[in-house]
Amino acid sequence: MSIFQRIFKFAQAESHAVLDKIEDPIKLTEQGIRDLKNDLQAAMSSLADVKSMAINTRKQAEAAKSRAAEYEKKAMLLLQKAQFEDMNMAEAERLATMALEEKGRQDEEFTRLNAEAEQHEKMSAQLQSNVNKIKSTITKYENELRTLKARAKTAQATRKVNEQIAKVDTSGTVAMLERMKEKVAADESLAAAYADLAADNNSLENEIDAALGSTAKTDAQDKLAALKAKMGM
Amino acid sequence: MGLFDRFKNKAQHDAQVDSITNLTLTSMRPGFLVDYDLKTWEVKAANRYEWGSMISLEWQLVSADDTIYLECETDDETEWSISRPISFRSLGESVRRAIMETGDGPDQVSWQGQTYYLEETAGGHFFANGQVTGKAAQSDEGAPLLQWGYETEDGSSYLTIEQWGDTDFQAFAGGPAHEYQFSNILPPAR
Repeated sequence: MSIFQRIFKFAQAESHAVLDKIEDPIKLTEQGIRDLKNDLQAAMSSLADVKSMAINTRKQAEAAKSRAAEYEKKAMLLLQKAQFEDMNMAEAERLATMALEEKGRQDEEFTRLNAEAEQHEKMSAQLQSNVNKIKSTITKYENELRTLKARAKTAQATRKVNEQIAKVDTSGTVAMLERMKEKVAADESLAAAYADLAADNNSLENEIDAALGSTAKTDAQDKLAALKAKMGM
Repeated sequence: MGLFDRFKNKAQHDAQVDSITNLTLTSMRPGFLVDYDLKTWEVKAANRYEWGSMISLEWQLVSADDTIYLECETDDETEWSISRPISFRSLGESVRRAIMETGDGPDQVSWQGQTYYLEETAGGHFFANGQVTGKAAQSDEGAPLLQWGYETEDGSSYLTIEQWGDTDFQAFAGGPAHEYQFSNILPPAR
């Protein structure tokens, strides 16, 4: 491996390590959910389009069906009118034929619109299923995110407690206490040393006093005897 | 566009996306679509009624071959109902006469073989598409109306009579509804 390749590999490995450090799984999941919601918004908009078209086409189909029934009714009325001699039969048949032709056109229109409405309804059912899938994925991710956040919080708290127990305290409280303990111990040792020193000095002085003490006592006894003699006792 | 405007726009977009993906019945406005009773309905109007201190909301839902009214009333708890317009004449002449003579609806009404008992009487104001708030809506006093609400003994069917003018009456028949019966709420297509 050439030197440049090695440098490149090293840089690549380091950059991955840095990215791994920066990557926050919670933030990444949140962004994923936001992206999915954008997809959902687009899918819902398309679905609304298709559903609106389905409603309108179905409405038009129903109107064509009603018009066809109306023209058939009119043709029947014309023939009935002619039958009861209110109208010339030939004229009634001519108009009835025209009405039936119009009924045929409306029937065709109904068939066409009905097929179109069915197509829209089929498409909207497919889109609805996609929208539902995205919605359920978002719900699943949101639930996972909630769990992830709770777990992260728990892990953080547990780590802190364990650090404190292990005395590897990041906030420095335990370290500070340890330092304090050491300082107190050192002070105590110093105090003890001074105490020992003081004790040594005392004993030396005592000994000297003790040694000198007997002379002082004799002096005092001599002085007392002299005083008694002076008083004639 | 400044940097902060960019952040503000992004926050607004996120809020909008959130509101679109968590739609509820009460968020429906004209143009929204909703599935109910195996049909897709388009919201034609979202109206508001004010009954003194109380407010009720009403959505006119139109399908390819039907029109229904979805109503939401919040008192101690939220109650939903569905109704369809019926002919006021079909309630019989005695109902009209009773209201004209006494100024109040009769204690009970018979319609299509069922007896409905007077449950509540109210006077209020109607705001067409009144869910839209703003100065125009606030300054609008709304159309005054009187309403008599009837129920069958078991509470499974409702009948409502509305008086909009001296001789202008409307009647609706329906029953209780539940939010879970409505699904797939969609905002208008862009």
